[in-house]
Amino acid sequence: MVSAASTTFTSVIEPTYTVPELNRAIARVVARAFPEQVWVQGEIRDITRAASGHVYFTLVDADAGEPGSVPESILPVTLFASDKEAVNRMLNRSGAMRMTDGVAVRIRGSLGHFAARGTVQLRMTWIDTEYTLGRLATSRDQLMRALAAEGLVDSNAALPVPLVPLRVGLLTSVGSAAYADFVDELAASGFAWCVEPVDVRVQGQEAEQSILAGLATLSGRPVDVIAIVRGGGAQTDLAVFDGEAIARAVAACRRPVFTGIGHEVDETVLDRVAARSFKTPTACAAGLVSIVTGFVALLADREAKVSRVALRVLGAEERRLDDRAARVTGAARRRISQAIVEVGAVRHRAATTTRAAGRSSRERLSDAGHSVVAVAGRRAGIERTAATDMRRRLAAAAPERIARATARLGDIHGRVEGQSPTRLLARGWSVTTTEAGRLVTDPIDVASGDVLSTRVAGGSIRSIAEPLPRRLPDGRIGS
Amino acid sequence: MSEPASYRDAMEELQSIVGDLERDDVDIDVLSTKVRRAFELIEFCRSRISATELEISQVVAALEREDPD
Repeated sequence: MVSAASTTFTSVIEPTYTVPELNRAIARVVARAFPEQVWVQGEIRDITRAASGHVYFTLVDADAGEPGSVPESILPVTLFASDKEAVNRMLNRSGAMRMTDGVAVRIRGSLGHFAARGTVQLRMTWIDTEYTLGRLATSRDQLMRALAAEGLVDSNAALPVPLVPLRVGLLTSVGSAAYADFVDELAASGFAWCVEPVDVRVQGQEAEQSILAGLATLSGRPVDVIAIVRGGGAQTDLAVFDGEAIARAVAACRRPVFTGIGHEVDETVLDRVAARSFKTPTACAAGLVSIVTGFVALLADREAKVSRVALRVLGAEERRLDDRAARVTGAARRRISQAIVEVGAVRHRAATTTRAAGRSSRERLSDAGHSVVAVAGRRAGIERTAATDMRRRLAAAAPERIARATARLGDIHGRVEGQSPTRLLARGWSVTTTEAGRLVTDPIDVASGDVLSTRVAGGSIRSIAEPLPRRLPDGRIGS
Repeated sequence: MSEPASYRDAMEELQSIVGDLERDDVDIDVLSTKVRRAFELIEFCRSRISATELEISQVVAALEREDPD
């Protein structure tokens, strides 16, 4: 209450409050002006959780600008430990919300003046979670529509994922549970992964810039895919993944982006623009493993197919060969048979021709024979004629010749007759021969004791020779 | 006679011989030569098929040894 103060000065002094008086006066005015709890909406800034259990933050206008800028209008808010339990129940029921910096909230509480700080502040007792989540959803939907209009939603998904994406660029908070889950899942597969981690902030004011820088870094590295993973959290924690800048960066990224952002309900904008999205870091790693596993299975299948096809081709070739072999054999046999038939035909023709030729020869021979006979006949006639003529001529000449011959014969006969031994024998001559019949004409031809036969006209005389005394050269007779 | 340069060459030559033989006017003097050559080619092709079959089975076996699954 205003009271009469010091009267040191003589003049009338304007009523003056002490600080406590004024604070109390303000408190009364505030209480009268806002007798009921009020709803207020704004964005949380500078939230702190004291050891006492109380939570303090500042509410600023949701359109106050970028985090870190100095807002024109603020409202200090206190959530006392005694009220926190009820608020937490509401937050937990929503399942997707936490009170953190940057989160737009609609809260209820009573306004009061806090004398110790000289400020009017809101003592928070209630929170409208629907408001926050709705705003997030609305904001996300607007962004998605804009991205879709620009054709950016499926840009990253259109990039081909390598058949064996073993080189993985990993954007996460290195050392976090999310990081461990992701890396462990890859390692368990047994494939030769090459993970290049880039440590980034995944929530809070710096998250967006950090993730954008990480994406830029990995885009220049030789990686097959980029994975962005983060552990589970309230949807409000994941607001950064609903941000436009990151969505555009991923859409423009030339590497397929896989996400494993732990969440239960809605997808974030980042999930929608990524090549593939998974519910958790473990699921994201498993997705990569399944691609490699699928490739290995495909390889095995192709191997089997190659083998099957190759053997089928070989089988077909074998059948083709068999067919050709059969055709060669068949054609050769047929040709031989045909040749045999041809030879038979030729032989038949030859026989026929030969027979014809034979007939002709015989005829020719016959003709020749006839000719020979005719000639011979003619010749015989001539000869006969000649012979007849000769006979005739002989017959004509014969009597004379015979007479002459007879005469001559008689003459010869007479002459021969004159020399006849018979006549000579008759005239007393004899003929002596040895026993061997040899004519004895010289005594030398006879040896003593030789038996001699002497023919005389009246018969033969047999005699034995005696040696006659030999006449010596002097004329004497020797013995 | 010379060995064919390839399976394809062998098959082409074989086809040509089969075509000749099937014309039924092949000279008997060369018939046996052609048939002998045809069977040489068939033998060559068969040996190539067998060798290829063996190679394939070896490759497949090697792959199966590398990946027992």
